[in-house]
Amino acid sequence: MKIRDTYLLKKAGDSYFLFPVGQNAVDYKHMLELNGTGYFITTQILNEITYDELLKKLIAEYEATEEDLPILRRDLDIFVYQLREREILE
Amino acid sequence: MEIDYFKIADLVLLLRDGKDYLQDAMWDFVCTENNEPDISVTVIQGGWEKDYPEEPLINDRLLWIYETKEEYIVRYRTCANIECYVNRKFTGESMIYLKQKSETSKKPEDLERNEMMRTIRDIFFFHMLKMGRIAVHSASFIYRDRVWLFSALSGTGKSTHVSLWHENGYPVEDFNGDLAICYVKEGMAIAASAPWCGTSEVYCNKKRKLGGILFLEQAEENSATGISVSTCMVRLAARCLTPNWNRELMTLNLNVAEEIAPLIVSGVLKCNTAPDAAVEAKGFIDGHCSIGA
Repeated sequence: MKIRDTYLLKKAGDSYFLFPVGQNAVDYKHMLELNGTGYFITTQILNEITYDELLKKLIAEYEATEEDLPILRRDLDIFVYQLREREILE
Repeated sequence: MEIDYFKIADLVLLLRDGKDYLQDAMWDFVCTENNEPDISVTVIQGGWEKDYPEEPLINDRLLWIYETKEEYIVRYRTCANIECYVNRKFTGESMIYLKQKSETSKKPEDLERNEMMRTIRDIFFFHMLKMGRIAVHSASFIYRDRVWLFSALSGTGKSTHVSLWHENGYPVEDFNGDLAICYVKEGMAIAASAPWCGTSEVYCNKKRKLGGILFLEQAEENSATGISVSTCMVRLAARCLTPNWNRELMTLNLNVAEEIAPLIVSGVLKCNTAPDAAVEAKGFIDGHCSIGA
């Protein structure tokens, strides 16, 4: 997984945004506001990373236990789905 | 070779061989300055003979934009007189290539003048962005010696709202009907008008301290609410007419917006088309001015 170079990640105050640029801006794609977790995930996938590697990083970042894992995996899947649906991921 | 100089938003624009295609508004910005220009544009008659790169950076319904190591090439799909223009990346130079050599006896038509003005505008915006300036899509006026921008998508009612201030008899002076060039100079946010104003025909050759910006949203009831600096920055960047063709240019837009946002009053004006909308907006602006903004 990797973020397309037609999106730009920017922090504004306490918020984080993915701005469409280039062809995406021309095509009226919308910017995406991220929460802290979304920002963490996005910074990890600015460069190529596999799903499993990303999940490991999330577990480490949030000190997740075995019990937390199903919820963590579900939330990650939803977020990745949203990124794919918006064609933010390569 | 004919050379003319224009001064817009504190930047000197040099134009070579394009004066016949200019609209009257441009001549209100003519200057005698002949020092090193910030931006130079050369109009070349029928001189484009190169092949375009294979893959465009942007494929729009009106144009293609190609990027090479040294330049951006903007090629129009349908344009009566202009084949393309080239922006040099690392200097303030651009070239406009016309489709065919004009006959000296034939005067440019309105359509050709429109195309040339739009092209010079886009070139100016490209280079001025690298010089810390953004163009904000907005209708604006001068009030209390500051410029106030009303920004929204086309058709929301920017001009309608500005006209309500006139109808209410408020002491405002028209600034620009379509855009304002905004930048920071000596720690102050500045707004400059420009010869480009869409179809509004409202412009002037003035600059003032930028008081603030209200983002308009249509609503049944009128209300004005302040927004945070970060929200202002994001909304300002989203309303920029300056190019965001790639990450580098988008970053420049965001950086200038980030610099301006903390220096100005900003809010959302939910409004209808009744005179009360201007009462609400004026109350919001007066409230912020009186507390020293």
